[in-house]
Amino acid sequence: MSASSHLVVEADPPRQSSEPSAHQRLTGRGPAGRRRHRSPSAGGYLFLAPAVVFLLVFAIYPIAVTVVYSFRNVTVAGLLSGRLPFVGLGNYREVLADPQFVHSVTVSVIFTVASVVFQFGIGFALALLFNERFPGRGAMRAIVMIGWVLPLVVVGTIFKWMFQSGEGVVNTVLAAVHPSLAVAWLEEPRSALGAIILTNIWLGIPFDMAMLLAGLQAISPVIYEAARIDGAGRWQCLRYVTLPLMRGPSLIVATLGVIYTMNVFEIILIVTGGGPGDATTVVPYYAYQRVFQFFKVGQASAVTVLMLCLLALVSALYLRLLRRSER
Amino acid sequence: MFDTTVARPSRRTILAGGLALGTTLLATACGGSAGQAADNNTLTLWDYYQEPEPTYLKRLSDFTASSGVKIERTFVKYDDFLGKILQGAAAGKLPDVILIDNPWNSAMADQGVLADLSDNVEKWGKWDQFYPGPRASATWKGKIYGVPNESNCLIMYYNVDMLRAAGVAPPTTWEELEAAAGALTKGGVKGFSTAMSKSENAVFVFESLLWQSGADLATLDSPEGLRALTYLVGLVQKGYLSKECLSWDLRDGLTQLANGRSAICFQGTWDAAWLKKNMKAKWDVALLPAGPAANASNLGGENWSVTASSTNADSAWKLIEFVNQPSQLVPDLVAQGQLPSRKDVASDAAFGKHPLSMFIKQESVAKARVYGANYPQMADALMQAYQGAISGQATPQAALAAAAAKIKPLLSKG
Repeated sequence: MSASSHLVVEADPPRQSSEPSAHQRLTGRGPAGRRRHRSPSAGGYLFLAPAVVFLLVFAIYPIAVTVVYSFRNVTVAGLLSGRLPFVGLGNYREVLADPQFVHSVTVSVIFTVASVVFQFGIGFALALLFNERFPGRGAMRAIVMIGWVLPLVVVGTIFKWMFQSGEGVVNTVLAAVHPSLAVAWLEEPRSALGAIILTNIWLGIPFDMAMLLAGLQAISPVIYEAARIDGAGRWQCLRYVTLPLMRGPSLIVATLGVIYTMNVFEIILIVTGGGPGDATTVVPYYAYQRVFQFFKVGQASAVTVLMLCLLALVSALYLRLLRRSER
Repeated sequence: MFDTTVARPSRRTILAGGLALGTTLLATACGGSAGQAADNNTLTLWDYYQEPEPTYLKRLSDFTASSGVKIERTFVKYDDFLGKILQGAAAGKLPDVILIDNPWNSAMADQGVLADLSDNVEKWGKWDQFYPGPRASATWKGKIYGVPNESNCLIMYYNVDMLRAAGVAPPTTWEELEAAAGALTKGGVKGFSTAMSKSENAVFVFESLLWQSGADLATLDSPEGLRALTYLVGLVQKGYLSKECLSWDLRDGLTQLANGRSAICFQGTWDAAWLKKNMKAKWDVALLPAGPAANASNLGGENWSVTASSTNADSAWKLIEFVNQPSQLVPDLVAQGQLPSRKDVASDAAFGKHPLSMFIKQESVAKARVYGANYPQMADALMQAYQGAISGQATPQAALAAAAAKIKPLLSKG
């Protein structure tokens, strides 16, 4: 699974760095075996070509088009005739002045912070649990991973059913405890956002758990042994050994969580459709509506470019953390 | 930053809007499916009938038989239709003819997607036979951009036995509806059900209430607009209409009636056939209760339009003329349970019986949604207003003021 491929990348920092050492740079000489790396043959580039073409066609080109559109007035008639007048920052100005956009940013921030905090907290607790040996550990871990395996459409539909105010299982259970606990989950603005956040937390826990578990298993038992000899108890082992050593992996997991959560769109489309009102309209949903319902391609492009910039910043942070934790 | 994609799991990786938008545009650029026909002997047609009635397909095949012009029909999902039009325009691959939901007609005309059919329609000489609502739905700024195929409208369904047991007659005014709903609400049964979800489905109902109250999209923040929303919110607050209506589409509202959970329901005329199959108790239809200002209903239906980019506009018009002859039209309307958009067809004996005659009576006061290119955005503002007010996010006044502030500039732009 893709999660495990990540673990491999992380656990094995590239040993054969193609970066020349300071000595090599000064003398211009490298070990003989390295020569071929420095003047790659045409064949070498050929192996690279599929990846480059893939990136160009499916990443660079769409992003370039989006950036271009964000500075133009894009209408259907304009697309037909090929005349897309340049409007400078007009689209950006309109979007930033739209109270609905500002609202969607607020919703996105609440959604992201709440999701990441709980995904991480619960994921960490589960990782600590599964780091211990106990009977049935494998089976239980597999069950926790289910959220990762199910398609988002299925997850969204299931949670929509569960939260339904009439016969939904959530309300049935709550009402059995106490009738006043049952709320119209998807019809009240606050609880609708809560329902979406709960769904997303459930979805994100397995990934965080798997990543953090890998981090925990990378901590050498020798360190714990030394700590115990020095008289550390369980709690002190956690506080003074585990937590400091998990700082790197934790930062990475949290950063990735922010990137994913900012992009969550499908489950909102399925569970609430951004409603009631605009209570669960996050930024990606706002952009989606602008293109596919309102035909405001220019404005939507501006929104996605803004998101792209923000996520580029977060990604840069992620890469820095990744590099630092490898060192 | 793309290095991260290597390490990231492939799930949810897409930078939501940006890449999605870009790749969809790209996908169409790389060769969409149903493009414009190269030769003059083929017409391309898009509609959103997932399971088209054989009678509808027969109209198309009859045209091919009589004219020799082939028709390449493509089904496009209703929810994807506008997006596909956008992609088709970006790729320069729009079909010749489209059969579209009538509120889209003015929107697409305004965007320059559709061909002006005014001259053809004038030569045809049948336009006077169409009802004012359908005619308005196909007209934008004095020009005609479509030919209505069929119509439908919002109407009231009710459970005959429940009303009789409560000693209530089918309500004919808002006051009577509220009183009846009150008398009928008991135990697990609500007096009234209808759609208030975040979709055009429910806007269909809300606009009817606005019009019955004497308001319109341009006058949302008037006392009339406030009266309509306050009335609706009152029905929910008094418990006559379940708050769950916020997640109901029109069919969900009717399902409540069919399952005996509501006694009165607003739903489109098109669902009578479904109700017949699915409701065991006795039901009937009546005209929507009149509001303080007027009797009004919302007009739905589909219009035939030709795209502005079609190189085959003459054949396209011939197709429209052919399939709209009464002999072609009536069997299909009857099979689909739809209403005629024109008097000369409505006089056909097939439409003289109850409940169809009642539907046609309701249709005569039904208004079309003709608000131009920005209608989807206006509809979204309406959704926010009624959802916000019903869910308690905002007072009816505040909700309407916010919606009016969004809609007014859009109307003046159009």
